[in-house]
Amino acid sequence: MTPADIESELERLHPAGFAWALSCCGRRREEAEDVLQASYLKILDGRARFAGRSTFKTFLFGVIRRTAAEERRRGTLMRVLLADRRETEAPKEGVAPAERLALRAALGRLPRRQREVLELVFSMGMTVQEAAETLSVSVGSARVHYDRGKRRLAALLGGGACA
Amino acid sequence: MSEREEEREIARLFEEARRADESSAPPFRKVLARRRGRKAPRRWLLGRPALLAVTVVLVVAALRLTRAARPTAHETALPATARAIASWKAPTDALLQTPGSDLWSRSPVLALPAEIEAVAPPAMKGVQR
Repeated sequence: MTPADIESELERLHPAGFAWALSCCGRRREEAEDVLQASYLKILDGRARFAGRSTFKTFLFGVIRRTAAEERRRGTLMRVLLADRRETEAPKEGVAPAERLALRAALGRLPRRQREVLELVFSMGMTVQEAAETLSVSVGSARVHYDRGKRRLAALLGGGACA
Repeated sequence: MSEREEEREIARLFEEARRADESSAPPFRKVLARRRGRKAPRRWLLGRPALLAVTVVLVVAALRLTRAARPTAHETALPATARAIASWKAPTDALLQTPGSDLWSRSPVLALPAEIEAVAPPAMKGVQR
């Protein structure tokens, strides 16, 4: 892929990438934009190289997830070093339908891995295998997270068991 | 509700949430060109890992030196304990004060017999065996 191809692919996937970055950053918008920019720069200057082993979308989402994790670790370290006790809670959603708020609240109660697999599969339209590649876990592990997460989410949303 | 219907319902909710997130995405060019939204002190520190490392090393060294210079709890407690032991007197000490007890407080010096004194080297003189 030429740099121009990569840039146009990034632009095409930008809205989905932003939605995924929001999810990876606990829905903190400014942090998500930082992570997204850092991810784009990593890809454009060659620090993250697309080897063609997966789809470009899977690759991009993996870079975004890793960059968000780095930012999270760095943020935790800086809070410890600078004794910064500011809250890092997710911002409240503005005016949103009750259904969406309920979904966000239910997702917030799931373990990180389960939440990530469900977001990738249901929201981003990935297969479980693609989700596993994005999260750097085995397909079996991703399948277990998907299954447990789906059941737990259905229970939290009041839809009963999904088994 | 069957499992399939439930799954479809979850997918619909996710789809709506995703569409809402995507519609609120800032323009691609703006994200690419934006300045990092962090606060200055954090960037300043992160941009200088060497400075941060040197500061950490200096702080650790200073802490170690301070600890080494300060007497330990054992050291500060020892003189007081030693003084207490040295000045301690048993309640039965008075019983030892008997006539002639001063003999116990000094070593007797015995004169050598004349024939031994004659052959003993000078260094031996007055040495108690």
